[in-house]
Amino acid sequence: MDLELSEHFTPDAWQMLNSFWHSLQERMKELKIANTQQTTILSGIEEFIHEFIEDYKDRERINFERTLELIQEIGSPSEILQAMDLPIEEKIIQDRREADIKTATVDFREDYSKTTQIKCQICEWLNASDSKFCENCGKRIIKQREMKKPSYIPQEAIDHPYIASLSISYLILITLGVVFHYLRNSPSNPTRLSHERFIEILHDIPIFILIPTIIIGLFSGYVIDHSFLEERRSKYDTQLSHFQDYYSLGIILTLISLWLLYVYLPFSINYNEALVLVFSLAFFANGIAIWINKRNLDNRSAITTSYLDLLKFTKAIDNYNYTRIRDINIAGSVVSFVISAVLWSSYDYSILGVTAWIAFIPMLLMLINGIALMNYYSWSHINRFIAAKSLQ
Amino acid sequence: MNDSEKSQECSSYLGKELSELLLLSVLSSGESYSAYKIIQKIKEKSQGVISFRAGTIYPQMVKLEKKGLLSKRIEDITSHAEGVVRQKAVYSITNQAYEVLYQRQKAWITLQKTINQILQEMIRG
Repeated sequence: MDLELSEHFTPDAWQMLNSFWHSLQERMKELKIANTQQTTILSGIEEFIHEFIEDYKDRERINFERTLELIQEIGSPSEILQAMDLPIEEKIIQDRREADIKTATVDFREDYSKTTQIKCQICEWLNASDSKFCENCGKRIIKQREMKKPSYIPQEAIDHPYIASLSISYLILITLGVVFHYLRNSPSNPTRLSHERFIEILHDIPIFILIPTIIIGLFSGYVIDHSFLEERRSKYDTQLSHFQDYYSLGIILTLISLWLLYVYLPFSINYNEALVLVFSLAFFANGIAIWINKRNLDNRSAITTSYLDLLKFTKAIDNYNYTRIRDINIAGSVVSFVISAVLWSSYDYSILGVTAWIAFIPMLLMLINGIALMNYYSWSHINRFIAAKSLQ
Repeated sequence: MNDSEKSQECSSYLGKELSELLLLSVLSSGESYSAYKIIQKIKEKSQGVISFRAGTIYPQMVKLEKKGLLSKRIEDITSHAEGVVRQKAVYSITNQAYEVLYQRQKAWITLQKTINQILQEMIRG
Protein backbone atom coordinates (compact mmCIF):
# COMPACT_ATOMS: atom_id res chain seq x y z
CA MET A 1 0.00 0.00 0.00
CA ASP A 2 1.73 3.17 -1.20
CA LEU A 3 1.16 6.78 -0.35
CA GLU A 4 0.60 8.84 -3.50
CA LEU A 5 1.24 12.21 -1.93
CA SER A 6 4.73 13.24 -3.03
CA GLU A 7 3.52 16.42 -4.70
CA HIS A 8 2.50 17.86 -1.34
CA PHE A 9 5.89 17.45 0.30
CA THR A 10 9.40 18.68 -0.31
CA PRO A 11 11.70 15.87 -1.56
CA ASP A 12 13.55 15.35 1.72
CA ALA A 13 10.28 15.47 3.69
CA TRP A 14 8.67 13.01 1.30
CA GLN A 15 11.56 10.61 1.54
CA MET A 16 11.29 10.64 5.32
CA LEU A 17 7.52 10.13 5.29
CA ASN A 18 7.74 7.40 2.69
CA SER A 19 10.46 5.64 4.69
CA PHE A 20 8.31 5.82 7.79
CA TRP A 21 5.32 4.44 5.90
CA HIS A 22 7.20 1.50 4.44
CA SER A 23 8.90 0.81 7.74
CA LEU A 24 5.50 0.59 9.44
CA GLN A 25 4.24 -1.86 6.82
CA GLU A 26 7.37 -3.99 7.09
CA ARG A 27 6.97 -4.16 10.86
CA MET A 28 3.39 -5.29 10.48
CA LYS A 29 4.39 -8.00 8.02
CA GLU A 30 7.22 -9.07 10.26
CA LEU A 31 4.81 -9.58 13.14
CA LYS A 32 2.40 -11.41 10.84
CA ILE A 33 -0.48 -9.09 11.51
CA ALA A 34 -3.59 -10.05 9.55
CA ASN A 35 -3.98 -8.22 6.25
CA THR A 36 -7.38 -6.88 7.17
CA GLN A 37 -6.05 -5.44 10.37
CA GLN A 38 -3.09 -3.93 8.56
CA THR A 39 -5.33 -2.35 5.97
CA THR A 40 -7.63 -0.89 8.59
CA ILE A 41 -4.85 0.79 10.54
CA LEU A 42 -2.93 1.95 7.48
CA SER A 43 -6.07 3.35 5.86
CA GLY A 44 -6.79 5.28 9.02
CA ILE A 45 -3.30 6.72 9.15
CA GLU A 46 -3.41 7.56 5.46
CA GLU A 47 -6.69 9.39 6.02
CA PHE A 48 -5.05 11.29 8.88
CA ILE A 49 -2.28 12.39 6.52
CA HIS A 50 -4.84 13.53 3.94
CA GLU A 51 -6.61 15.66 6.53
CA PHE A 52 -3.29 17.04 7.70
CA ILE A 53 -2.54 18.11 4.13
CA GLU A 54 -6.01 19.61 3.81
CA ASP A 55 -5.43 21.63 6.95
CA TYR A 56 -2.02 22.85 5.76
CA LYS A 57 -3.18 26.02 4.11
CA ASP A 58 0.19 27.44 3.03
CA ARG A 59 0.94 27.46 -0.69
CA GLU A 60 4.31 25.87 -0.18
CA ARG A 61 4.97 22.19 0.00
CA ILE A 62 5.15 20.71 3.47
CA ASN A 63 8.75 20.91 4.59
CA PHE A 64 10.92 18.51 6.57
CA GLU A 65 10.24 20.04 9.98
CA ARG A 66 6.44 20.00 9.58
CA THR A 67 6.60 16.46 8.27
CA LEU A 68 8.57 15.44 11.31
CA GLU A 69 5.78 16.92 13.43
CA LEU A 70 3.26 14.97 11.37
CA ILE A 71 5.12 11.72 11.99
CA GLN A 72 5.29 12.54 15.71
CA GLU A 73 1.52 13.09 15.69
CA ILE A 74 1.05 9.71 14.03
CA GLY A 75 3.35 7.97 16.47
CA SER A 76 6.24 5.58 16.02
CA PRO A 77 5.66 2.07 14.61
CA SER A 78 6.34 0.64 18.11
CA GLU A 79 3.63 2.78 19.68
CA ILE A 80 1.16 1.93 16.94
CA LEU A 81 1.78 -1.79 17.28
CA GLN A 82 1.55 -1.62 21.05
CA ALA A 83 -1.82 0.11 20.76
CA MET A 84 -3.03 -2.86 18.71
CA ASP A 85 -2.73 -5.12 21.76
CA LEU A 86 -0.60 -7.65 19.95
CA PRO A 87 1.45 -10.17 21.92
CA ILE A 88 4.69 -8.46 21.03
CA GLU A 89 7.76 -9.52 22.92
CA GLU A 90 9.42 -6.73 24.81
CA LYS A 91 12.76 -7.51 23.22
CA ILE A 92 11.41 -6.98 19.73
CA ILE A 93 10.00 -3.62 20.80
CA GLN A 94 13.32 -2.58 22.28
CA ASP A 95 15.31 -3.65 19.23
CA ARG A 96 12.95 -1.84 16.96
CA ARG A 97 13.05 1.38 18.91
CA GLU A 98 16.55 1.91 17.66
CA ALA A 99 15.49 1.13 14.12
CA ASP A 100 12.72 3.72 14.46
CA ILE A 101 15.25 6.39 15.27
CA LYS A 102 17.33 5.42 12.29
CA THR A 103 14.29 5.46 10.05
CA ALA A 104 13.16 8.82 11.34
CA THR A 105 16.50 10.40 10.67
CA VAL A 106 16.71 9.34 7.07
CA ASP A 107 18.36 12.24 5.43
CA PHE A 108 19.09 11.76 1.81
CA ARG A 109 22.22 13.80 2.17
CA GLU A 110 23.43 11.45 4.89
CA ASP A 111 22.87 8.51 2.56
CA TYR A 112 25.44 9.88 0.15
CA SER A 113 28.32 8.82 2.33
CA LYS A 114 27.00 5.44 3.37
CA THR A 115 25.65 3.76 0.29
CA THR A 116 26.18 3.85 -3.41
CA GLN A 117 23.01 5.15 -4.95
CA ILE A 118 22.00 6.91 -8.07
CA LYS A 119 20.44 10.31 -7.87
CA CYS A 120 17.70 11.17 -10.30
CA GLN A 121 18.77 14.39 -11.94
CA ILE A 122 15.19 15.47 -12.48
CA CYS A 123 13.83 15.28 -8.95
CA GLU A 124 17.02 14.43 -6.99
CA TRP A 125 15.44 11.27 -5.54
CA LEU A 126 17.96 8.64 -4.42
CA ASN A 127 17.37 5.35 -6.23
CA ALA A 128 19.03 1.96 -5.97
CA SER A 129 22.23 1.73 -7.93
CA ASP A 130 20.76 -0.52 -10.62
CA SER A 131 17.63 1.57 -11.20
CA LYS A 132 16.89 2.68 -14.73
CA PHE A 133 13.78 4.68 -13.87
CA CYS A 134 13.31 6.94 -10.91
CA GLU A 135 10.87 5.51 -8.37
CA ASN A 136 9.68 9.00 -7.45
CA CYS A 137 9.06 10.80 -10.75
CA GLY A 138 9.21 7.82 -13.11
CA LYS A 139 11.67 9.47 -15.49
CA ARG A 140 14.58 7.62 -16.96
CA ILE A 141 17.71 8.22 -14.95
CA ILE A 142 19.85 10.12 -17.44
CA LYS A 143 23.30 9.41 -16.11
CA GLN A 144 24.21 6.21 -14.37
CA ARG A 145 26.82 7.53 -12.05
CA GLU A 146 27.47 7.20 -8.38
CA MET A 147 26.76 10.16 -6.17
CA LYS A 148 29.18 10.39 -3.34
CA LYS A 149 28.65 12.80 -0.52
CA PRO A 150 30.14 16.15 -1.49
CA SER A 151 31.65 16.64 1.92
CA TYR A 152 33.75 19.57 0.75
CA ILE A 153 30.81 21.40 -0.78
CA PRO A 154 27.73 22.08 1.33
CA GLN A 155 24.41 21.18 -0.20
CA GLU A 156 23.46 24.85 -0.34
CA ALA A 157 26.38 25.53 -2.65
CA ILE A 158 25.01 22.94 -5.04
CA ASP A 159 21.51 24.31 -4.74
CA HIS A 160 22.77 27.86 -5.23
CA PRO A 161 25.45 27.71 -7.89
CA TYR A 162 25.64 31.48 -8.16
CA ILE A 163 26.99 31.78 -4.66
CA ALA A 164 29.43 28.93 -5.09
CA SER A 165 30.71 30.04 -8.47
CA LEU A 166 30.93 33.70 -7.62
CA SER A 167 32.73 33.05 -4.35
CA ILE A 168 35.25 30.76 -6.03
CA SER A 169 35.72 33.18 -8.90
CA TYR A 170 36.40 36.09 -6.63
CA LEU A 171 39.01 34.09 -4.78
CA ILE A 172 40.68 33.27 -8.09
CA LEU A 173 40.44 36.93 -9.05
CA ILE A 174 42.28 38.11 -5.99
CA THR A 175 44.89 35.34 -6.14
CA LEU A 176 45.67 35.86 -9.79
CA GLY A 177 45.71 39.60 -9.34
CA VAL A 178 48.33 39.31 -6.66
CA VAL A 179 50.39 36.81 -8.67
CA PHE A 180 50.36 38.82 -11.87
CA HIS A 181 51.05 42.02 -10.02
CA TYR A 182 54.11 40.43 -8.50
CA LEU A 183 55.25 39.07 -11.85
CA ARG A 184 54.83 42.41 -13.47
CA ASN A 185 56.40 44.60 -10.82
CA SER A 186 59.26 42.61 -9.42
CA PRO A 187 62.40 43.89 -11.18
CA SER A 188 64.53 40.94 -10.15
CA ASN A 189 62.06 38.36 -11.36
CA PRO A 190 63.46 36.78 -14.54
CA THR A 191 59.99 35.86 -15.80
CA ARG A 192 58.85 39.43 -15.76
CA LEU A 193 57.22 40.55 -18.99
CA SER A 194 57.45 43.99 -20.36
CA HIS A 195 54.29 45.97 -20.00
CA GLU A 196 53.84 46.40 -23.73
CA ARG A 197 54.33 42.74 -24.53
CA PHE A 198 51.95 41.75 -21.75
CA ILE A 199 49.24 44.00 -23.06
CA GLU A 200 49.84 42.78 -26.57
CA ILE A 201 49.29 39.17 -25.51
CA LEU A 202 46.20 39.99 -23.58
CA HIS A 203 44.63 42.25 -26.09
CA ASP A 204 42.95 39.64 -28.21
CA ILE A 205 41.96 37.27 -25.42
CA PRO A 206 38.82 39.00 -24.24
CA ILE A 207 37.22 39.01 -27.63
CA PHE A 208 37.39 35.26 -28.14
CA ILE A 209 36.78 34.10 -24.60
CA LEU A 210 34.95 36.82 -22.78
CA ILE A 211 32.16 37.40 -25.26
CA PRO A 212 31.21 33.70 -25.53
CA THR A 213 31.29 33.57 -21.74
CA ILE A 214 28.84 36.46 -21.52
CA ILE A 215 26.61 34.83 -24.10
CA ILE A 216 26.62 31.47 -22.29
CA GLY A 217 25.92 33.13 -18.97
CA LEU A 218 23.04 35.18 -20.33
CA PHE A 219 21.62 32.21 -22.19
CA SER A 220 21.65 30.08 -19.05
CA GLY A 221 19.92 32.83 -17.16
CA TYR A 222 17.38 33.12 -19.95
CA VAL A 223 16.64 29.38 -19.91
CA ILE A 224 16.12 29.38 -16.18
CA ASP A 225 14.23 32.62 -16.08
CA HIS A 226 12.07 32.45 -19.16
CA SER A 227 10.72 28.96 -18.76
CA PHE A 228 9.59 29.53 -15.23
CA LEU A 229 7.65 32.77 -15.61
CA GLU A 230 4.03 31.69 -15.34
CA GLU A 231 4.31 28.63 -13.14
CA ARG A 232 6.36 30.21 -10.41
CA ARG A 233 4.05 33.19 -10.06
CA SER A 234 0.81 31.33 -10.17
CA LYS A 235 1.47 28.31 -8.07
CA TYR A 236 4.71 28.22 -6.19
CA ASP A 237 6.76 30.34 -3.88
CA THR A 238 8.00 33.49 -5.56
CA GLN A 239 11.23 33.79 -3.64
CA LEU A 240 13.20 32.08 -6.36
CA SER A 241 11.58 34.32 -8.92
CA HIS A 242 12.81 37.35 -6.97
CA PHE A 243 16.29 35.92 -6.91
CA GLN A 244 16.30 35.40 -10.68
CA ASP A 245 14.82 38.83 -11.23
CA TYR A 246 17.62 40.44 -9.28
CA TYR A 247 20.18 38.49 -11.25
CA SER A 248 18.68 39.65 -14.54
CA LEU A 249 18.52 43.17 -13.14
CA GLY A 250 22.22 42.92 -12.41
CA ILE A 251 22.96 42.11 -16.03
CA ILE A 252 20.85 45.03 -17.23
CA LEU A 253 22.51 47.43 -14.78
CA THR A 254 25.88 46.30 -16.06
CA LEU A 255 25.02 47.09 -19.65
CA ILE A 256 23.66 50.50 -18.69
CA SER A 257 26.79 51.19 -16.63
CA LEU A 258 29.00 50.36 -19.61
CA TRP A 259 27.15 52.84 -21.77
CA LEU A 260 27.36 55.53 -19.08
CA LEU A 261 31.07 54.97 -18.67
CA TYR A 262 31.78 55.41 -22.34
CA VAL A 263 29.70 58.53 -22.57
CA TYR A 264 30.23 60.39 -19.32
CA LEU A 265 33.64 59.55 -17.85
CA PRO A 266 35.93 62.59 -17.85
CA PHE A 267 38.97 60.53 -18.69
CA SER A 268 39.49 58.26 -21.63
CA ILE A 269 38.92 54.60 -21.10
CA ASN A 270 39.91 51.85 -23.43
CA TYR A 271 38.19 48.59 -24.26
CA ASN A 272 39.97 46.35 -21.77
CA GLU A 273 39.54 48.73 -18.89
CA ALA A 274 35.87 49.00 -19.69
CA LEU A 275 35.50 45.23 -19.58
CA VAL A 276 37.06 45.02 -16.16
CA LEU A 277 34.75 47.77 -14.95
CA VAL A 278 31.78 45.97 -16.49
CA PHE A 279 32.48 42.77 -14.66
CA SER A 280 33.19 44.51 -11.42
CA LEU A 281 29.89 46.35 -11.56
CA ALA A 282 27.97 43.27 -12.71
CA PHE A 283 29.11 41.15 -9.86
CA PHE A 284 28.77 43.99 -7.45
CA ALA A 285 25.09 44.16 -8.40
CA ASN A 286 24.86 40.40 -8.06
CA GLY A 287 26.50 40.47 -4.68
CA ILE A 288 23.99 43.04 -3.47
CA ALA A 289 21.11 41.04 -4.92
CA ILE A 290 22.26 37.81 -3.28
CA TRP A 291 22.72 39.58 0.04
CA ILE A 292 19.26 41.10 -0.16
CA ASN A 293 17.88 37.67 -0.91
CA LYS A 294 19.84 35.95 1.82
CA ARG A 295 16.75 35.30 3.88
CA ASN A 296 15.10 33.76 0.87
CA LEU A 297 18.06 31.51 0.24
CA ASP A 298 17.87 30.37 3.86
CA ASN A 299 14.44 28.96 3.07
CA ARG A 300 15.95 25.93 1.50
CA SER A 301 12.74 24.02 1.00
CA ALA A 302 11.23 26.74 -1.15
CA ILE A 303 14.33 27.16 -3.26
CA THR A 304 14.90 23.45 -3.69
CA THR A 305 11.25 22.89 -4.51
CA SER A 306 11.31 25.69 -7.05
CA TYR A 307 14.38 24.22 -8.76
CA LEU A 308 12.71 20.84 -8.95
CA ASP A 309 9.57 22.39 -10.39
CA LEU A 310 11.80 24.13 -12.88
CA LEU A 311 13.18 20.79 -13.92
CA LYS A 312 9.69 19.45 -14.47
CA PHE A 313 8.31 22.37 -16.42
CA THR A 314 11.31 23.44 -18.46
CA LYS A 315 11.31 21.83 -21.86
CA ALA A 316 15.03 22.42 -22.06
CA ILE A 317 15.51 19.81 -19.35
CA ASP A 318 15.21 17.13 -22.01
CA ASN A 319 18.55 18.24 -23.32
CA TYR A 320 20.00 19.98 -20.32
CA ASN A 321 19.80 18.99 -16.77
CA TYR A 322 20.14 20.98 -13.62
CA THR A 323 23.72 19.90 -13.09
CA ARG A 324 24.72 20.97 -16.57
CA ILE A 325 23.13 24.40 -16.18
CA ARG A 326 24.94 24.78 -12.91
CA ASP A 327 28.24 23.73 -14.49
CA ILE A 328 27.81 26.19 -17.34
CA ASN A 329 27.22 28.99 -14.86
CA ILE A 330 30.21 28.03 -12.77
CA ALA A 331 32.50 27.68 -15.79
CA GLY A 332 31.33 30.96 -17.25
CA SER A 333 31.81 32.80 -13.99
CA VAL A 334 35.27 31.33 -13.40
CA VAL A 335 36.50 32.14 -16.92
CA SER A 336 35.10 35.65 -16.68
CA PHE A 337 36.89 36.30 -13.48
CA VAL A 338 40.17 34.85 -14.62
CA ILE A 339 40.17 37.28 -17.50
CA SER A 340 39.12 40.12 -15.21
CA ALA A 341 41.96 39.32 -12.84
CA VAL A 342 44.52 39.34 -15.61
CA LEU A 343 43.25 42.62 -16.98
CA TRP A 344 43.00 44.14 -13.54
CA SER A 345 46.58 43.42 -12.71
CA SER A 346 47.89 44.82 -15.94
CA TYR A 347 47.04 48.43 -15.25
CA ASP A 348 47.80 51.08 -12.74
CA TYR A 349 45.51 51.14 -9.81
CA SER A 350 44.82 54.81 -10.25
CA ILE A 351 42.01 53.98 -12.61
CA LEU A 352 40.95 50.59 -11.38
CA GLY A 353 41.73 50.80 -7.70
CA VAL A 354 38.24 51.91 -6.78
CA THR A 355 36.55 49.29 -8.92
CA ALA A 356 38.82 46.58 -7.54
CA TRP A 357 37.65 47.37 -4.06
CA ILE A 358 34.05 47.57 -5.23
CA ALA A 359 34.45 44.05 -6.63
CA PHE A 360 36.04 42.89 -3.39
CA ILE A 361 33.11 43.89 -1.18
CA PRO A 362 30.49 41.55 -2.68
CA MET A 363 33.03 38.74 -2.53
CA LEU A 364 33.33 39.23 1.19
CA LEU A 365 29.56 39.33 1.56
CA MET A 366 29.17 36.11 -0.37
CA LEU A 367 31.91 34.34 1.54
CA ILE A 368 30.23 35.33 4.78
CA ASN A 369 26.92 34.16 3.35
CA GLY A 370 28.49 30.90 2.27
CA ILE A 371 29.91 30.29 5.75
CA ALA A 372 26.52 31.12 7.27
CA LEU A 373 24.83 28.66 4.92
CA MET A 374 27.32 25.96 5.78
CA ASN A 375 26.64 26.51 9.45
CA TYR A 376 22.91 26.46 8.80
CA TYR A 377 23.26 23.19 6.95
CA SER A 378 25.29 21.61 9.76
CA TRP A 379 23.03 22.76 12.58
CA SER A 380 19.86 21.95 10.71
CA HIS A 381 21.10 18.41 10.23
CA ILE A 382 21.90 18.04 13.93
CA ASN A 383 18.59 19.56 14.98
CA ARG A 384 16.71 17.13 12.79
CA PHE A 385 18.45 14.18 14.37
CA ILE A 386 17.69 15.42 17.88
CA ALA A 387 14.07 16.11 16.99
CA ALA A 388 13.71 12.69 15.40
CA LYS A 389 14.97 10.96 18.56
CA SER A 390 11.80 12.16 20.26
CA LEU A 391 9.94 9.56 18.24
CA GLN A 392 11.31 6.96 20.58
CA MET B 1 9.97 21.35 29.21
CA ASN B 2 8.29 22.64 26.05
CA ASP B 3 4.62 22.24 25.17
CA SER B 4 5.20 19.13 23.10
CA GLU B 5 7.07 17.42 25.91
CA LYS B 6 4.42 18.44 28.47
CA SER B 7 1.73 17.05 26.20
CA GLN B 8 3.64 13.81 25.76
CA GLU B 9 4.18 13.45 29.49
CA CYS B 10 0.50 14.06 30.30
CA SER B 11 -0.73 11.80 27.52
CA SER B 12 1.50 8.99 28.72
CA TYR B 13 -0.41 8.96 32.04
CA LEU B 14 -3.62 8.11 30.18
CA GLY B 15 -4.33 4.42 30.11
CA LYS B 16 -6.47 2.80 27.46
CA GLU B 17 -9.60 3.05 29.57
CA LEU B 18 -9.15 6.75 30.12
CA SER B 19 -8.36 7.30 26.44
CA GLU B 20 -11.58 5.52 25.47
CA LEU B 21 -13.45 7.67 27.95
CA LEU B 22 -12.15 10.82 26.31
CA LEU B 23 -12.95 9.54 22.81
CA LEU B 24 -16.50 8.70 23.76
CA SER B 25 -16.93 12.00 25.59
CA VAL B 26 -15.99 14.02 22.52
CA LEU B 27 -18.56 12.14 20.46
CA SER B 28 -21.26 12.27 23.14
CA SER B 29 -22.54 15.56 21.73
CA GLY B 30 -24.09 13.50 18.93
CA GLU B 31 -21.88 14.94 16.19
CA SER B 32 -19.92 12.72 13.83
CA TYR B 33 -16.19 13.33 13.52
CA SER B 34 -13.25 11.81 11.75
CA ALA B 35 -10.40 10.53 13.90
CA TYR B 36 -8.35 13.55 12.86
CA LYS B 37 -11.04 15.93 14.09
CA ILE B 38 -11.43 13.98 17.34
CA ILE B 39 -7.70 14.39 18.01
CA GLN B 40 -7.93 18.11 17.21
CA LYS B 41 -10.95 18.54 19.51
CA ILE B 42 -9.28 16.81 22.45
CA LYS B 43 -6.19 18.92 21.92
CA GLU B 44 -8.32 22.06 21.77
CA LYS B 45 -10.42 21.25 24.83
CA SER B 46 -7.36 20.30 26.87
CA GLN B 47 -5.51 23.39 25.56
CA GLY B 48 -2.76 21.23 24.16
CA VAL B 49 -2.15 19.27 27.35
CA ILE B 50 -3.52 16.02 25.94
CA SER B 51 -2.45 15.04 22.46
CA PHE B 52 -3.30 11.66 21.03
CA ARG B 53 -1.14 10.05 18.41
CA ALA B 54 -3.05 9.13 15.28
CA GLY B 55 -1.42 5.75 15.06
CA THR B 56 -2.57 4.80 18.56
CA ILE B 57 -6.06 6.24 18.31
CA TYR B 58 -7.06 4.27 15.22
CA PRO B 59 -6.64 0.85 16.86
CA GLN B 60 -8.74 2.11 19.78
CA MET B 61 -11.46 3.35 17.43
CA VAL B 62 -11.48 -0.06 15.75
CA LYS B 63 -11.85 -1.76 19.14
CA LEU B 64 -14.67 0.55 20.20
CA GLU B 65 -16.41 -0.16 16.91
CA LYS B 66 -16.06 -3.90 17.50
CA LYS B 67 -17.50 -3.48 20.99
CA GLY B 68 -20.49 -1.72 19.45
CA LEU B 69 -19.78 1.60 21.12
CA LEU B 70 -18.95 3.47 17.89
CA SER B 71 -20.41 3.34 14.43
CA LYS B 72 -18.48 4.27 11.32
CA ARG B 73 -19.80 5.92 8.19
CA ILE B 74 -17.90 6.59 4.96
CA GLU B 75 -18.40 10.01 3.39
CA ASP B 76 -17.28 11.37 0.04
CA ILE B 77 -15.57 14.72 0.36
CA THR B 78 -13.86 17.03 -2.11
CA SER B 79 -10.28 17.71 -1.15
CA HIS B 80 -9.39 21.29 -2.06
CA ALA B 81 -5.69 20.67 -1.50
CA GLU B 82 -5.59 17.63 -3.76
CA GLY B 83 -8.40 18.52 -6.15
CA VAL B 84 -9.97 15.06 -5.98
CA VAL B 85 -12.96 13.43 -4.32
CA ARG B 86 -11.85 11.04 -1.64
CA GLN B 87 -13.50 9.02 1.06
CA LYS B 88 -13.36 9.85 4.73
CA ALA B 89 -14.47 7.74 7.69
CA VAL B 90 -16.48 9.54 10.35
CA TYR B 91 -17.44 8.07 13.69
CA SER B 92 -20.43 8.59 15.90
CA ILE B 93 -21.40 7.18 19.24
CA THR B 94 -24.04 4.45 19.47
CA ASN B 95 -26.96 4.43 21.89
CA GLN B 96 -25.38 1.55 23.73
CA ALA B 97 -22.28 3.69 24.33
CA TYR B 98 -24.15 6.35 26.33
CA GLU B 99 -24.73 4.00 29.24
CA VAL B 100 -21.14 2.80 29.15
CA LEU B 101 -19.94 6.41 29.00
CA TYR B 102 -22.07 7.40 31.99
CA GLN B 103 -20.72 4.51 34.08
CA ARG B 104 -17.12 5.29 33.16
CA GLN B 105 -17.51 8.98 33.87
CA LYS B 106 -18.90 8.14 37.33
CA ALA B 107 -16.00 5.78 37.97
CA TRP B 108 -13.47 8.38 36.84
CA ILE B 109 -14.91 11.13 39.01
CA THR B 110 -14.81 8.81 42.03
CA LEU B 111 -11.25 7.78 41.23
CA GLN B 112 -10.17 11.37 40.70
CA LYS B 113 -11.60 12.42 44.07
CA THR B 114 -9.87 9.53 45.83
CA ILE B 115 -6.50 10.20 44.26
CA ASN B 116 -6.70 13.92 45.00
CA GLN B 117 -7.54 13.11 48.61
CA ILE B 118 -4.55 10.82 48.95
CA LEU B 119 -2.21 13.32 47.35
CA GLN B 120 -3.43 16.15 49.57
CA GLU B 121 -2.92 14.02 52.67
CA MET B 122 0.59 13.21 51.53
CA ILE B 123 1.36 16.87 50.97
CA ARG B 124 -0.05 17.85 54.36
CA GLY B 125 1.63 14.91 56.06
